[in-house]
Amino acid sequence: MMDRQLPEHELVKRSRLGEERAFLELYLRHRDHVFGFAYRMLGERGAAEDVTQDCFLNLVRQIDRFDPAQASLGTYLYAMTRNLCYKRFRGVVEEEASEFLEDPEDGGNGPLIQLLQAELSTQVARAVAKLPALQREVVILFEFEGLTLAEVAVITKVDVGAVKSRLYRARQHLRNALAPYLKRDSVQVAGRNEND
Amino acid sequence: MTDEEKKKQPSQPISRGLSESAQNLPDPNEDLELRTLLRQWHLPRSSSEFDRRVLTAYRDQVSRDAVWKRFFFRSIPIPLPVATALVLVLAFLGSRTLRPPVVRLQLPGPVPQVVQVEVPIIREKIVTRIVYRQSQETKNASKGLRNDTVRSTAHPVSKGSRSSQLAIQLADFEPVEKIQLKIVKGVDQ
Repeated sequence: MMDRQLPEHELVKRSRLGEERAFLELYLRHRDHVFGFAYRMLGERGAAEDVTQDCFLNLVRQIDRFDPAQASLGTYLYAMTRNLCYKRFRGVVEEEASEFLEDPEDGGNGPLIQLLQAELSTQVARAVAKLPALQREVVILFEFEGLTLAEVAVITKVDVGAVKSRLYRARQHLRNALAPYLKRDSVQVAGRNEND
Repeated sequence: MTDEEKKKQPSQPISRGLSESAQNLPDPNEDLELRTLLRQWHLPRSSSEFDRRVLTAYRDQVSRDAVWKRFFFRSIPIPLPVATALVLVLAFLGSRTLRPPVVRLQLPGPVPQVVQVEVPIIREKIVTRIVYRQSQETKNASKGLRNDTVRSTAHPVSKGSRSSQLAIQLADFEPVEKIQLKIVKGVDQ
């Protein structure tokens, strides 16, 4: 393992020069985030893997485009993943992704709990997949990747207010779609929000 | 992004208006119930071969991008008008560079050199003389005078009275077409 103190832009440079260990270091640091974002956006594992691979190769190929003064490498990779996902959206007619029905990881629980968790995971995936792409990306980055509103704004290239607005509308849709799994009545929540 | 989603994407002024009204929206971090539910969505593991595939692709990429290959095969997108202008400028500069230079020597002054050459000149002297031939009719008439004529031509100056008589008789002569003269020096002497 390489020295963790080495700045990421230095690792990127070394990767560009063919230093395999530097590339592996970068890859292992960011693989799960890039893959997770791509998978949740596309809903298909194979496509998400392709996007992840392209993302890291583009990082090495287009080193000049990464400016550490403007954004962190993580933000840059999210933005690149987003672009690659939208490129796929343009080529493929969006359809309900059947792979959202994939079994989630085995948590080591009993069969019944596993079944319930799998169902819940599938329902959440379907609800997210039904969101418009602009709302979906905001929800994924904020809720699943744990980024701040400002970071999401940088990645999606809009201001924070727009991010907040999209997130609000996305959450309303999700509440309606996942109402049976929530304690509170989604209709009541939606009505209350409209009154606000 | 589908066309439907593009239509739904707000334009710039609308987006600005939304961002202003977004100040009044509730904090998304407050809705913990929905957040907890969303976190139930677990990701599948990436395939076991995936990491190896990425590493192989990286190695191919790096080997493909060796310095000399990048130098020779890297392409740069240039707009056609710019490329045309560049080609013209390079052609102009190239023609100016490759043209042989004109050497102008500045001498202190012309120094003419005079060389005298003697060339032999062949001079031809053409002498033209009209000779009259005596016709057959006058030949007999003047037969008797032949001796006198010969004598008078031999001594034309000394015999002035006979030379006038001879001139009348020569009028009947016709000129020959060709005559070859041979001048022998020193005959008169």
